[in-house]
Amino acid sequence: MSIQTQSSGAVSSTAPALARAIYALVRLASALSVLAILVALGFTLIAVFWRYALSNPLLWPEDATGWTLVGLIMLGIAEAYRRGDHIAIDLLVDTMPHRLKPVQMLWSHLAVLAFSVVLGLSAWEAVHFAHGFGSYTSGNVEIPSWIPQAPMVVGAVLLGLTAVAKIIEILFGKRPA
Amino acid sequence: MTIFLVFAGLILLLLTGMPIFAALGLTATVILVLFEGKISPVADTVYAHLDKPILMTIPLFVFMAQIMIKAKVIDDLYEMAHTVVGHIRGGLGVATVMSCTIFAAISGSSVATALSIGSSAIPQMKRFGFPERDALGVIAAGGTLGILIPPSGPMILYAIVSEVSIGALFLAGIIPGVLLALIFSAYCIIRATRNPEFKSPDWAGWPRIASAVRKSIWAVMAPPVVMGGIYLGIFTASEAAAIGSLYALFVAVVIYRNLGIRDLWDCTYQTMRTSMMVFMIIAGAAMFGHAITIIRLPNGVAEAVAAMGLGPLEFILVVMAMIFVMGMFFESIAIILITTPILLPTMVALDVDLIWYGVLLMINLELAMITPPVGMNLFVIKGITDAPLSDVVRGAAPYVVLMVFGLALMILVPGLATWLPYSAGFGR
Repeated sequence: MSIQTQSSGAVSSTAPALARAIYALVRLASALSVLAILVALGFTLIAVFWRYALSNPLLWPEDATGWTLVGLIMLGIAEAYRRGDHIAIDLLVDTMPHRLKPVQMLWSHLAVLAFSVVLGLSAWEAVHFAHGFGSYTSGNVEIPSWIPQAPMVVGAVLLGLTAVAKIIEILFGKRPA
Repeated sequence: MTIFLVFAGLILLLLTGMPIFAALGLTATVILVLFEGKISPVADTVYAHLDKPILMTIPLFVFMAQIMIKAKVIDDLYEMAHTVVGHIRGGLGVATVMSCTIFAAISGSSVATALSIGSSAIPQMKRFGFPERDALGVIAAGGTLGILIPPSGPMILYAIVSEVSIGALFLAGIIPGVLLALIFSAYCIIRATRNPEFKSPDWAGWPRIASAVRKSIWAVMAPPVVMGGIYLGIFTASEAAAIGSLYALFVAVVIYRNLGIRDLWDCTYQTMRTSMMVFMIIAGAAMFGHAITIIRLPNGVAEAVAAMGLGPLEFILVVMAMIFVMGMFFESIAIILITTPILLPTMVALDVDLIWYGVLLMINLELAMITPPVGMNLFVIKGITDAPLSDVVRGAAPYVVLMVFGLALMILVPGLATWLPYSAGFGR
């Protein structure tokens, strides 16, 4: 297996503006994901401090950490995909003739696009239902459940857009390494 | 027949080179469409699997290791081990195993361990004429300790899927991990004793040893800080990871004074990228797990095993053989997330100790890291040394035998894995 590193994420000068715009959006989301990791670290440390130093266990950090985690994952998946980080099995791909590589990559990006469509449609349905139904989260802190679910729609859209950008790159001349 | 079709479809998609998460998710989608006629449960399933605060353990341990590497805290580790044991016969190999063991208790990753320790150890071993093939082998094998010695990313995933306490699993990995490290070290010494090619540096002397130990103390103290809290029941695994991260930040900023804001951002960014690889496979595996539950595949396996009349030991032997073969071709995270939900009902029915099984699974996945054709650590070592892959494979081959021996030992003596967690009060 390998960590796919064939596309460095750098946009070639010939890549269409749409791909560049998508990548800028994805990088912005990834910056928020990075910040969310530090925020989640802060929540956990606050919980420990309040429990042991102040003898006053807090209930909200656990819920907040879970929601933050979903948010940071969904904001970060597209960046990891843009950087070619997601793990794939390249046992057969490596033995493929070079001229077939773009076809294989196209197939791979189409698969990710299909995945993001499935996740996005399902997430949109879940958020729409939760909003319409007025359901609330079931943990220590109750908030409308569509709020922590909403990042899944954002994540699916960003992942799908990144797949589209990569497909554009292949179709418009950026050759795979 | 359904089992065969599901796995044939999944393997076919995986072999086309698409990301593992996409292959898992699309296989699940096909099953859901065919058997349920809808994809609406996908988001709820993914959300339920990702909205778990305990999963923060993964990025926090990665973050801790990133900080320790960036601030060069771990650079002093190999120097210390080399100074302390380098002078004995095969001592450079023992020093490598020793550094890998300590770094494994910081990083939780086999690849990171092989990469980080390999970068420091290989030049030293070359300098003292340590046979190249042996050097490549000991680093490839020592690096695998990263997933057995806690904290371990794969262990966290197994614990989440099997609903076993992460703390209990972490403790269960300590004795087998140290035992394997001792077996590797003993092999290095025996091999050096029988081979005049091996040379060792002179004894460093007490002042240098004291100085090296003093310099490495901050890296050496990291594992007790993390595991001590779990063992004493003070912290949960994710809290221990957060405390470990705080410790790493303290050491980097206050003691070593070489971590700026830009470095902190880089470490967090790298943490995000590394964690996303794992989280997306979790998301795909969640979809896959939901889909195979709908078609009752895990129950089918349990019924088939019951019909075959396999006992717990026979079942474990069959599973270990199957995972060994899978490990030659598949990625460890995928193996854990695909096989565990399928095998879990059978293991519960056969009363297999899930902590013990977790340790066996980790050792088997360690083997997967150094067995061709697809062994991550083999590629890492080849990458940092430019040695032919065949040399790395040959160098690692004796350690494959040693690990199989270690695995057999753990199968025959379950207490080696289960004694520590149960003595610490974790229930079965």
